[in-house]
Amino acid sequence: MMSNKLRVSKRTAFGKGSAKRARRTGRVPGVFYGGEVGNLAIEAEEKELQKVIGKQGLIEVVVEDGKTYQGLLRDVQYHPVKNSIIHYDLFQVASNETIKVTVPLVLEGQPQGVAEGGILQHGQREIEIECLAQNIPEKIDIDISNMQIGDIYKVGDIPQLKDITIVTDPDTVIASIISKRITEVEEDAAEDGAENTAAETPSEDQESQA
Amino acid sequence: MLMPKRVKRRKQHRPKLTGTAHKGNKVTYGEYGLQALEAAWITSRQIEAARIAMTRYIKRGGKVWIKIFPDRPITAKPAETRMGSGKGTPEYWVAVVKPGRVMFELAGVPEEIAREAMRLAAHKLPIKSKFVKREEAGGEANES
Repeated sequence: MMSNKLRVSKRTAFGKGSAKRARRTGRVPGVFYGGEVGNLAIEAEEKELQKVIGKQGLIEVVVEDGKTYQGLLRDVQYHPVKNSIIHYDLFQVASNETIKVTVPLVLEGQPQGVAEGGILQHGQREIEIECLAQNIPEKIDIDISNMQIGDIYKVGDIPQLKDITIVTDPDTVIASIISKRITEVEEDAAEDGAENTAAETPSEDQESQA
Repeated sequence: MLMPKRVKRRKQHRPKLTGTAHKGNKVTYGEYGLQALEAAWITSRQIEAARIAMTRYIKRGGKVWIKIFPDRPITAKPAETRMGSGKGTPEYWVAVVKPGRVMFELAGVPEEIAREAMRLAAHKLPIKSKFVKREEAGGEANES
């Protein structure tokens, strides 16, 4: 699991201006905290960060003074339009420490209900689990190939996972297969409503209420 | 068309178009989205036109989410009226859209169909926009 490696350097300049200058040169400011590290302002190459962010699990954080720690990405902030990384939080953990993390759920297989004309609705896309830091899975696969129209797959239906406790409420819906007919009725109603209100102008509507 | 059911004040100040979308800038419900790259007032008619363009193309195959709501009234004075005599009457409703805002979402259709549906919808809007996917919000820019 320890294949992710991130080289970081300590940050000496702080504030909005220096952060912007760093981002322009391809280095993203962040923070590394917890345990023996304390609270460390860092920066790292954006390209290296992009590789690490795509994966789950522990990250080997190499600080410029040569020390190596194990960390987890707690938070990543993106630019709303460019989608570039603005800032990130790294949390230092020990591999034998029990922690709570969110892990993505991946639906596998083509449900039988979809082949019969149903629509697959995806609910919760990630769940919170509790496990040792070294056992964090990259993803949790869920086989939905046996689902029929009207079936609901909940968190409680996930088979027992080795060394992992699921924290998320067991009644949380992960996937459901709904019949096409229900969605068509909803859309028809929406279109009818749109036609009825099309003639109304906001001024008329508001004056009648005033 | 979309409009509020009732409002506390009929006339409001003109909405500001500064800054970027700090909320609603991710694809949250569906698989694909249409993200604004510019700021604009999007009228309820434009939203409706985009929705119809999208739903007609996907032929009721998937599900569409409209993530913006026109809740700001815009007033106008009648033509050839002298200035003064107070603020005009409310004429239409707009949603304030800032760069980064995901305006529409789509699920339950293949990517090629979603791209084409979003392209058709984008042509009904007065701003540049891009097609985005759930995994990473960095699709290719659509001409609009």
